[in-house]
Amino acid sequence: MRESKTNGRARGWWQIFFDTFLVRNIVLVKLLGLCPIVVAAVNLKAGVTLTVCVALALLPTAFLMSLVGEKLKPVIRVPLYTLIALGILLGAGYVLGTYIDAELYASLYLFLPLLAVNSLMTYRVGGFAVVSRPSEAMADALGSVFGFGAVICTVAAVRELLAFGALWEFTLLPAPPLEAAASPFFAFLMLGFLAALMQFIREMLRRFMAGEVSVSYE
Amino acid sequence: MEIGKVVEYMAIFPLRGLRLPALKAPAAERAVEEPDALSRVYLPLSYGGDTRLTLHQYSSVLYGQAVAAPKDKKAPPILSSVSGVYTAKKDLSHPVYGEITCLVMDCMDVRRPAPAERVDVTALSAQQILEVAREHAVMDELDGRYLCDKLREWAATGCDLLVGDAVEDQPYASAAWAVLGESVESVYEGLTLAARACGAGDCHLAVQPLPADHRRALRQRLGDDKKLFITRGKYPTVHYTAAPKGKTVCRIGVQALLALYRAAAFHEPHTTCVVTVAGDAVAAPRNLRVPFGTPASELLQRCGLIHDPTVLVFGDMMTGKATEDAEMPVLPGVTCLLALNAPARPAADVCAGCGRCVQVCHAGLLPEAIVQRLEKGQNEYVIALHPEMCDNCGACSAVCPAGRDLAMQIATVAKVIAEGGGES
Amino acid sequence: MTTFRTTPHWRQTEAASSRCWDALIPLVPLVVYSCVYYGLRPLYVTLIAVAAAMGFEILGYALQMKRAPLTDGTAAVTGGVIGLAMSPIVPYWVPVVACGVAILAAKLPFGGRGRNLFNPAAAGLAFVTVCFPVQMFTYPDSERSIADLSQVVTQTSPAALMQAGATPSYSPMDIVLSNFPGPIGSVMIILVACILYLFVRRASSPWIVLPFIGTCALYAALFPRVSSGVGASVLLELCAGYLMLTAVFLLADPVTAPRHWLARCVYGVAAGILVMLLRRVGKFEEGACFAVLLCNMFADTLDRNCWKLCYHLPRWLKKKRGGAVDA
Repeated sequence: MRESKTNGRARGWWQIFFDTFLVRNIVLVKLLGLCPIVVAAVNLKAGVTLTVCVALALLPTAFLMSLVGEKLKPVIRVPLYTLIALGILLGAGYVLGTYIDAELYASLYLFLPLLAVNSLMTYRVGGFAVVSRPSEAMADALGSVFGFGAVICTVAAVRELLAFGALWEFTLLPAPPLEAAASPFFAFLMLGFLAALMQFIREMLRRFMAGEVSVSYE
Repeated sequence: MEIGKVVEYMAIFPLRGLRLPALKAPAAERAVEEPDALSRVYLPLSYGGDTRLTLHQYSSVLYGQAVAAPKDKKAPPILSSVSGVYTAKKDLSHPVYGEITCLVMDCMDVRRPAPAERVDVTALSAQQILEVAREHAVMDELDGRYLCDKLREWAATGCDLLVGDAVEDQPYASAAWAVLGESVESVYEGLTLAARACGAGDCHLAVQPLPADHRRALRQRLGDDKKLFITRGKYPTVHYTAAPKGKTVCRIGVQALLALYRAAAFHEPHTTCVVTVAGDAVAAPRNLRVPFGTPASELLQRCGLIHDPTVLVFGDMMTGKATEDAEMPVLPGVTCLLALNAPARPAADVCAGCGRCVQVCHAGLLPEAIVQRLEKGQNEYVIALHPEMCDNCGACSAVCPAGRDLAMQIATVAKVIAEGGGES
Repeated sequence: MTTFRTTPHWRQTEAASSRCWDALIPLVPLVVYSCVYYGLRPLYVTLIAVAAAMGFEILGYALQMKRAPLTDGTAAVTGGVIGLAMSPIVPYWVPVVACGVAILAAKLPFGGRGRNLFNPAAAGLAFVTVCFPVQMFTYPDSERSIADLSQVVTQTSPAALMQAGATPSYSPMDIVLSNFPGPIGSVMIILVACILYLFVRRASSPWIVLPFIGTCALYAALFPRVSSGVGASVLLELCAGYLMLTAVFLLADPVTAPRHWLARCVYGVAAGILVMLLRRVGKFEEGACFAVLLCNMFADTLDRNCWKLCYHLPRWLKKKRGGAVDA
């Protein structure tokens, strides 16, 4: 589904950010970008790394695509932004593996390039940024990054705490309470509850800010 | 317990239909009575079509006289069912007919005049029979429509088998049974007349499994086994013939058939109906022959009440409509008046998924799924589940252990689909 | 018979909750039978599970500022079934965790009784199976009582033996009488009696249970995992683990099962195949709860499509034969 350029009325960049970040959270409401959260985010470090990588890939591509707009045909446009994102992510992976944390890179090397073809990327860049002004696209991309980051870091932190009894590799608990938390099903469970929480927040928002924030149930 | 009941109870096979208690005993065994005095009757000005009042207030009316003439010349008139004085007009909200305007007639005489000399009916042509049915305003008690309209329709669409419907598969109802016991020969004569009028190839009477001696007596009086068909199965009855496949079956109530015969043979207008008055609040349940428009209170008074009923049901146990107003008149289309001491229904529970509504639905629908989708507002899915095939027999609501009103909701949506073609 | 003021005035009256209490009654003989072998511990496990399930129900409703409808019995049945699927020497916190997941994750978030998409007990069991397989699948020797937990002799269950490719050497009598290491509630003869009781009480549908058991038996006969013959294979597969318990209490739970008879049949067959496949290729010795959860997901779809088939096929055939189609 494509969002119209104005979405009913002109929205400020703050509204767009707020919308993508919270009201129509990219992960919990639109259910995009679940793969890295479910599979890769088993500790907080991995979660933060993935967030940073999404930011690195999403912000430039979104900016670029909003500049290019619909001047290019989709058949050229889609491979173009995928390749740009892929290039950035490969570079980021190289930097991560060589200069920062080789162990972390070893656990994530498969998922970093895959972010380039993630639904989050294609939906935000190919669906929104292309038909928006650069400022709007940047606000939306930032909202996406923060929305995605908030969810993935929450999930990753809880999983690390339960599965390894640690947080950011600092051991907090004497023994891991639930080792199975590292397996994907636990992330799905958590996402389910977070999505329910999100609906609760949206409902609250709808009640208190009726008329001020456009909350649409898509 | 017989095997079939065990199997049914354990719900092994998708047995369609519902086994209901008969409860016909006291009323069905008593002879039909006619009240000899009534204080007033309510005559509706119209049963649907546009009509014009033909009398002035406080003018007296004779039995069988037209009180309202239809604007459409081909429609039947409204005939007075008593001799009396038209005193007032009253708007009623009738449980069966909805909002209707009635004439209040103060009765002077409810006795019908002695029948005229019998006319030979064998020579009547189809057109003449239709004209007789129209002139004497014969109404079918199955659905409260004019018989001439129904016969004309069937003559146009074609009808393989005409069934005189005396199947009373719901509890208490025994009016048709009483009518058959009184005059089964006349009913069969009426059936042959109706069959001739609509060009039906074959005709027979259908009755529920009566006690053996009743059945034998009926067969003896009719003289031919083929004239009587005993239905089998459970509520609602769907098989009116032994070979249902590929046949167009049309049904007429036996009271209408009797009225048709009497109209043709004795020029008698159709002004009375036989009503079963029963229910757990009634002291002496019985069948009464009353003029159209008799208020329910008169019938109840005649049969006596053990205690005040909480609800009056116009019609049968499963499909009848409830009211609390005892002044409501009995009109054609009502063959049963139940005075029940029924509690208000407790609030509906959540569906536990037992699947009994699916089992009893004789139309083969998924009642629970339809209602569930209605509640969720998924209208396009509702249409795919064909709620319009529901004939509102109420079996699904009756068996629901959660006490949900499935039949009512499905009937509502079926009506919407029938009216709006399914857009909404 | 009861009459009511609204149409239809005649209604069969039977509270929906009564069938849940019906499902609770068969749990009693199973626990009692297990106590004969192991002492009172199975009783404690089951009671703790029931109490935990009801406690979590109260907690869950308290969070929503509501009174828990405990009298409907669904929470008690969920707890009881979870308790019965446990090993007699399971630590008490395992059934409590399972009940917590069942009630707080699989039941109440979906809207509580009658609205849950997945069977709560199956969800709870699946969770503890994945998280604590060791505690779940360590069984005591059925010859000895387990008064003292520290001196319990553990034994490999027939389900685990079959998974490892070995052939359990139990006599048919032992298998039928459940004289082998296994969950509390895996007593063949009592479960068969339970099935009959629930059929008679109309609390479970033969259209689900019989195809399910039939499919499992057929699969066991066609692809035996043991070398001691087809009959032994069928008997062992049906009695080992909590397969029969699944058939009676988890799969046939009417809320999460389809309503249409054909859909129920397909549902039972699908669950049977899934259970046997999960046993053969799965990670755990018993995967019936996963099969139930997977089938729950398709209950509604099955219902709709099987109904469509049953509804439209006769009409289509009629049309094909050239007859008139009504409406």
